[in-house]
Amino acid sequence: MANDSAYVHTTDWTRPRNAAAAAQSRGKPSKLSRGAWLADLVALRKVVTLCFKCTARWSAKANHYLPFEAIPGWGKCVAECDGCRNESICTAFKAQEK
Amino acid sequence: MECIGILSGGAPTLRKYQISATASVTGVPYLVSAANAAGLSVCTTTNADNMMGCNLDTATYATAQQTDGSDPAALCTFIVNPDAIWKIILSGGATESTALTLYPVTTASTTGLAVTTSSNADWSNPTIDEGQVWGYDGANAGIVRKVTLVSGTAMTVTVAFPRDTVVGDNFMVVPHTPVTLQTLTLTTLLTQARADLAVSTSTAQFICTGSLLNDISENGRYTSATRAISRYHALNPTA
Repeated sequence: MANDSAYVHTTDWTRPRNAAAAAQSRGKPSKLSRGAWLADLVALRKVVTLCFKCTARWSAKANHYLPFEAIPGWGKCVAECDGCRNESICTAFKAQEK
Repeated sequence: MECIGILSGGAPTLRKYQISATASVTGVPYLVSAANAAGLSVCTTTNADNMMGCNLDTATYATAQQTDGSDPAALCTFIVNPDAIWKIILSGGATESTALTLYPVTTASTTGLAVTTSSNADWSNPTIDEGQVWGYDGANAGIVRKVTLVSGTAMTVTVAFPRDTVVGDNFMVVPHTPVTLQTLTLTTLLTQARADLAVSTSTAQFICTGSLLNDISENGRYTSATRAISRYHALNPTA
């Protein structure tokens, strides 16, 4: 049956939430290895957020990073893991002066 | 600004966003992208509408393609909870960490209902009405009261200070009160709030959830702060 009034979905990019979503970082590019992506973040001294599995495989101390509490008293945060790109409970690491 | 908790009691949510200008200072509120901006925009001293959060790290903004092939997009990490409670240090002027002004009592009050200072201060212009006054030193050090009436050099409070105000006692004032819709004016680097300007309808919209007003024992002129949540957060569906 012909549909003469097909609905065309459009995104209202003037809405704050949509505008914010457009600016959100996509995380690790698909063709970049986890180690290379983390190395890029470390080189730029960004805050690194890792899940418990990726934390075990990355040496914060060797990269002059220390875990920090985004909120005093909260050792964990909700974030996209910079290693595996899974949304989970993560530990946040902050760069220290070398 | 420093995030000190989440009103709903949850964990902080961190996100990385592109920004549209170099971020050299952390703890600055960022807003949803302005039209034609490449990413989140830094707030102004008088506007924090559509706030996303404060940045936890710094970044250098670049637009040109890089010779080494690296991605020029500048990213910063933000705490994006709409009900994040921000601790905002109070400054006595536009410059960060300006000491709060001390106002010595010139006329004692035996009822504890009035704080009368010198003619150098006119509490009705800019008005401190509905703000807070607290003792910096003296017998009422650390005691906070809401100002309910102003008249020239006198501030009147409804609930009396526990002890008489004595000539020479120093008090400090802040032009807002917790759990009221208040507007703040931020300092030049956008990390603190000015305590020397009266509340106005055209300034950065925050809801103050509490105050941390310290006396001389805690270096109150530099450590006093207000706790506030964003009134118009970009991710708050009720805004």
